Amino acid sequence: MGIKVLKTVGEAAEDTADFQTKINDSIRATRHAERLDSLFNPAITILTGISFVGTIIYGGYLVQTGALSIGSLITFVTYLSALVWPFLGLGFFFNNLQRGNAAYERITTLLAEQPATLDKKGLKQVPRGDLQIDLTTFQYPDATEAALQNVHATVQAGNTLGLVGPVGSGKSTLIQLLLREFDQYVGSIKINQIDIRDYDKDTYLPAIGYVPQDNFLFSTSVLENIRFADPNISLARVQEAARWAALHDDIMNLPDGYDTQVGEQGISLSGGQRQRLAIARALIINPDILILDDALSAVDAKTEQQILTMLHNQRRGKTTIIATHRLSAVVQAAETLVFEHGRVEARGTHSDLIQQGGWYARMFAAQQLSEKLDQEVTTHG
Amino acid sequence: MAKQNTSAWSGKMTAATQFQTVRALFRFMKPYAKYFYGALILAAAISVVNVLLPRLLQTFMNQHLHRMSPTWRLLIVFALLYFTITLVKAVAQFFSDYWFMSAAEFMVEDVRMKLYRKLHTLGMRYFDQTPAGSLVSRVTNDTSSFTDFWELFLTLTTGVFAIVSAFIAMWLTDVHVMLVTLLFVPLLLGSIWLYQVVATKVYRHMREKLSQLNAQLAEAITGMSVIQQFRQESRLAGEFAQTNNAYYQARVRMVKTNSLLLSPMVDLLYGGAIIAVMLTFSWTSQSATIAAGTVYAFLSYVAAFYNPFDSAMDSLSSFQDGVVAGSRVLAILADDTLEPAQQAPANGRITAGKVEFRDVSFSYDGEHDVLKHISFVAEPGQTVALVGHTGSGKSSTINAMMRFYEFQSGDILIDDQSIRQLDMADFRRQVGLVLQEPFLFYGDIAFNIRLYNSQIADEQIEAAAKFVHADEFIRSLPQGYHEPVVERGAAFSTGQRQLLSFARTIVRDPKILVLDEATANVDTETETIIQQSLAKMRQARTTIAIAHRLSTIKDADLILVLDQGEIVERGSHESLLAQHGRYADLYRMQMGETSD
Repeated sequence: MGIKVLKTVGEAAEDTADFQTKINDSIRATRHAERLDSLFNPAITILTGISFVGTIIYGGYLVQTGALSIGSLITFVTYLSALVWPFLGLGFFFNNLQRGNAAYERITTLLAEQPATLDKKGLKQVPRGDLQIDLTTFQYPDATEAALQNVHATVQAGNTLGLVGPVGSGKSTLIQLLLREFDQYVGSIKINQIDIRDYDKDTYLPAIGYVPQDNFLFSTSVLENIRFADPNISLARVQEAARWAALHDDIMNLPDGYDTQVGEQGISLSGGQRQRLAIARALIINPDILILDDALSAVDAKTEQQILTMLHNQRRGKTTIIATHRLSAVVQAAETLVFEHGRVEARGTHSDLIQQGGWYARMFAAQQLSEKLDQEVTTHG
Repeated sequence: MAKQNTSAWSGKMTAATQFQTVRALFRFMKPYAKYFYGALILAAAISVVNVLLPRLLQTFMNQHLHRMSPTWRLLIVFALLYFTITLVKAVAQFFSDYWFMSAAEFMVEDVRMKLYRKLHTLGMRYFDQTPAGSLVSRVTNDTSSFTDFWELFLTLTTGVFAIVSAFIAMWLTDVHVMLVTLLFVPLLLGSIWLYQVVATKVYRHMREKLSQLNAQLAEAITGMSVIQQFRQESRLAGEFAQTNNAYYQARVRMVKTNSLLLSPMVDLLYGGAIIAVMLTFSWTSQSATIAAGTVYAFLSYVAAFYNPFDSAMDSLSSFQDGVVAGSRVLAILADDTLEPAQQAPANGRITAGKVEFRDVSFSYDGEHDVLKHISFVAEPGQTVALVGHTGSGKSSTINAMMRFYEFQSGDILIDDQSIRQLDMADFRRQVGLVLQEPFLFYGDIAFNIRLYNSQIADEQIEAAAKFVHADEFIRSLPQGYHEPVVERGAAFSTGQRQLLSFARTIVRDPKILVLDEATANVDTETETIIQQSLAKMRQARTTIAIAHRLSTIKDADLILVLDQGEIVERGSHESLLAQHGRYADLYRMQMGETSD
């Protein structure tokens, strides 16, 4: 919220003054329009007045000559009055027609929008097995440069793949491809030897649990948010998922426990709680592939460790992909890819990468915390 | 989703609250009363003229035409008279409309300004609890609905004057026929009452369904990626279809109500009145001749009498909108979640930057203390670091220290004077807060550093940017310091946004720096730059810092370890390690020297 910043620098008064100027501008513009608007009724009145004057003179003359009876004149005048409204109505009609046209055009544009992934009916088979990434190049529609180039990796079912690298290096792009947000790339991504683009999306996507960094929560209860994937899941299973995400104790401390309303966009939960809720929401479907996209950034070190250990224990035989800035999250990964400018600059296990030096090792030095946590997790996990 | 939607349309509004709201809205109109009542008076005059014109024609037809000998001169005189009155009416219409619209517009903008000012006085608690979207809607949409709200008063005035003058004219023309028409008045009033009762209920129901629909739609669009990810499109589409159908049903009920009670009812009575008038005339004409002009005039009067009802009933729904919007706007204006108040005379100034917490206890809800007896001193230039788990009270310390929330007991002293006695403007200038999530405003880079302080020169902006190592990336932008910032700076990385917010803080040269977990959420390379900038910023400034990573605050003069609102350990990094307590544990855990 910007208001916090303005309050902090003590410039609320100046901001208010700025708003006042904008309001004055708005009033000036509106008054001009109002002046034009106010001319509409008088114009109609004058036109009607003129036609009445014509009737008085010509009608009076006709009555005088006996060509028209007074009764007919009255009828005529009544018709004349009846004409005023249709004319006004016609004006409104054209006005509405224009607005309707503009609205209709916007709606057709929206309806004509093509889905980003072509939903051809594919294999109704659960994607389970080794993940094989052989990406030659991918570029975003409308982009001129490739966002990913020559990314190759194989993840055996049950292993963890780490994705690290500076902001904008391509980690999230690779995840978008795995999530089939884009299908137009050169190369292939295969699960169990089958190109992921050949799977039916309705079978493919439910098998993937995805937890983004900025997790959206619906303004309903904690319970309904965790079992978003299926409202019929039992409370016991919801609680289990919450325990896995190290969230159960937090929930029990909330005023209404699992029935606590999270508020609009999860406003009544802390950042860390929202992240863990999103993890629980993904874990409850026990996905064959779990993708954590910097999903532990707001969770403190102790809790992060707890969740990682749980993932290690609970997800045997299932693949996990972790993209992160904090290296502590990928230290136990079977392989970690270090991205830079859309390419894989280095790869290997944690100790391989440390030995290689370079970005990972520098980062490691800076994040002593992460490095040492790794040792702890490997000794305990 | 959004099942527990709380809409102002769902609650019942008593007649008393409605009346109070309308009265309050009239108070807002007061400064523009000249325009408003001017417009109403003109509208009243116009409706009198509307009755006058048929009467003129009646005289013309009865007195002159039936003689079969009107002269051309007479025709022209009547025509000119008629035209002059028409012209006067047109001019009156223009000013009536213009003044009325101006008054409504002035009032709307005035309320908007009042709301905006009010929002600035509200405490952080209010903004922490209220979604920004609903506030935007209050300031823009709700206030716009006032424009139509006033319409009812215009139509009512026109109506009342039209009816009264029509009856006077009828009375002057023919008392018997007037009395016959009068018989229809109770019927008409009855049907209006019926419409009002039924339509209000139906309309409120419809509005409630509409706001549910909007809320559901807004949420589904924001959460679309989650919905698609979990393949819940069809379930959510089903829920939407339900809400949409409920709205449709409500809408159909509204249409039915209007179709039955609005025009048909009034038209039926209108037709009845005309028949009654005609019957009376024909009955009378058996004994005496009725002038044709009289019949014409009477028909016009009856029309002038019925027309206002149509429009008045039409504007009832706008009136409802206005009352509901008004009640919501008034609720904001009456909200007392104000900023913590200063004690008069509140003229203390910050000179050195010494910060002292003396036995401070603080609770958000008045029941559970989130800070318990916090005491510490930061001498000018020193750094005090707050360490602890989520919920230990670090952020609450900052909230109390920044005067975002009022603390209940103890005192916070700045340069040995109570924080409550400080000049708030000076306090805000001298205390720089760096938030965890930097916020960028719509504008350009320079504006985001300068904000509304016009005394900051361009050179100072550049110097501040250089100081925090933001200059390099700003210069690499196509338009440098004038690069536009849109959508809260989405085009910049978190680290770049963070550096800009540093520059914004440093250009104001505060004596006290408050850092709220400013180092989280950035990649390591940027973090190195940020750490360097922070170290520079902290030089010669009193700093209160929250940090998750203990390595960043090792050099702090005093480290406070918080747990459940209490300071459980305090001291320098070395002395805390020597204590082998919680800090040492935390540090060992973070450094990996496992304790077992």
